[in-house]
Amino acid sequence: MGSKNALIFVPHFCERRSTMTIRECYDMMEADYNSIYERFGGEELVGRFAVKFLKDNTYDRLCDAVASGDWMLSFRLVHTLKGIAANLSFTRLETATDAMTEALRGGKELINEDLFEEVKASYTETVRCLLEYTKA
Amino acid sequence: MRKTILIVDDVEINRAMLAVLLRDEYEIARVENGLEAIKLIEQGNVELAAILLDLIMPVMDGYEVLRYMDERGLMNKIPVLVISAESSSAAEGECLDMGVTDFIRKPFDGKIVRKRVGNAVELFSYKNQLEEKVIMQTEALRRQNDMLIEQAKKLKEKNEEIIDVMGTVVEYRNLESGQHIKRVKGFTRIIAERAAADYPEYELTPQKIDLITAASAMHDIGKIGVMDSVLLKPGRLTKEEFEHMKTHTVVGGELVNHIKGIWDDEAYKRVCYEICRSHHERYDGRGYPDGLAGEEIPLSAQLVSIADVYDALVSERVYKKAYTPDEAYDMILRGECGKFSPKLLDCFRKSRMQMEKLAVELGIAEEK
Repeated sequence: MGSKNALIFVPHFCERRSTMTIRECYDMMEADYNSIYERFGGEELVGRFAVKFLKDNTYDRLCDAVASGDWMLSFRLVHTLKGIAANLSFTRLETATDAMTEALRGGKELINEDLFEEVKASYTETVRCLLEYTKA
Repeated sequence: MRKTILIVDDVEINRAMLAVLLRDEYEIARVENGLEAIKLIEQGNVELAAILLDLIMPVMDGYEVLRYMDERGLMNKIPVLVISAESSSAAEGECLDMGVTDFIRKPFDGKIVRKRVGNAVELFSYKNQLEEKVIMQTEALRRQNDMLIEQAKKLKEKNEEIIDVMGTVVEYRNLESGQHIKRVKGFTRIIAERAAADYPEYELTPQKIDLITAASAMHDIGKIGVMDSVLLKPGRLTKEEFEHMKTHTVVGGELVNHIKGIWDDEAYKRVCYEICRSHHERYDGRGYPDGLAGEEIPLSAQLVSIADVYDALVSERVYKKAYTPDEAYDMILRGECGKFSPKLLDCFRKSRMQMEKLAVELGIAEEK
């Protein structure tokens, strides 16, 4: 088990050094904590799912697909990323991936590169916040 | 035993989120793409209570899984709930057309997923139970039906036995061996089958032939009401005695009408009545008791009367010796024993060999 996850499974009776809560993490990355909390009904569960995002490689594969100009694969991957973001209520990332998904639908070439730039930016920000949460 | 839910999604986070929602109530099986899902279904080791299916996946997507299941009639057996980030309603419509039970969009709500999966599992379990019940009941009905058919067949055989016994009772009173009944039945069938083949206008079906043959055993039942002094008289009967003898046709008909319970249908009774009452009628109207002529005489009675006359000629009676089959054949064709229908005489003529063969088999004639 990676050190990043280790903290998540620290029993509740151990003193956590972190003062950052998962809600604060969500607020920092412009995500909708209330939405996911309501859908899954537990802070601990939300934290566990959110951190799993760090291990998902969909984004890296998307970058490779875009670089190689494989638009069908790019569409599939950005669609997948959108699904994950939606389920985790990563609102900013969801909005960005949704726009790019619609632009690529049917395997169309990406004309507006700003769409991918926004996906990159929101992804990077999301990961930064999650890492801060896990390190804290 | 807990039911199993199969989660098919290429993203680990999605599988984990669904599993967390459902693991309290179900066993969870997880696979990463459609191909693995199909492998698991094909292995058949696990009975799946529901499948949660992502649409867009590598290797094999959700649509192909749906097609696979549809082709094998599995969409009616296992509920499929599609869980997709697809926002277009076209995808939802397509999936519902392919028979998916439910379409859940990402992001999904934990309570709603649990509720919808629960509903689908319950609905299908109920539906499958009902179908199983219907199959079992259909099978039970089929078995009962087979039994009824078997019993009806036995009943028919019993009826025929009873009729034979009644006919034979008269035979024994007549101091004959009981073989007369067997021979008349045999001759009747031979002529009837020939008539069915050559004269379709008679509409003689195999069932009707069976019926007439069985009922022919009754033709002389009315002799039970004939006095011994007449019935067993070795010499020629006086006019009065002959009149008394003739009553056996009417008595036979009345007897049949009075017997209740052994007829499985009215047709049987009617044919017995016709044969008993009219087997001494003649085609030219000179027979008895009613003096019917031509086709007024029921076909059943016409058939039995030729068979009866032929048998009377070729067998020995208290009042006469036996004629040879050749003599009997000629006498009937020459009209010495009364007139018969030309068509039936034609059948009789064509049946000569078969009739003689049966006479030999039943021991009343010698082989030529």
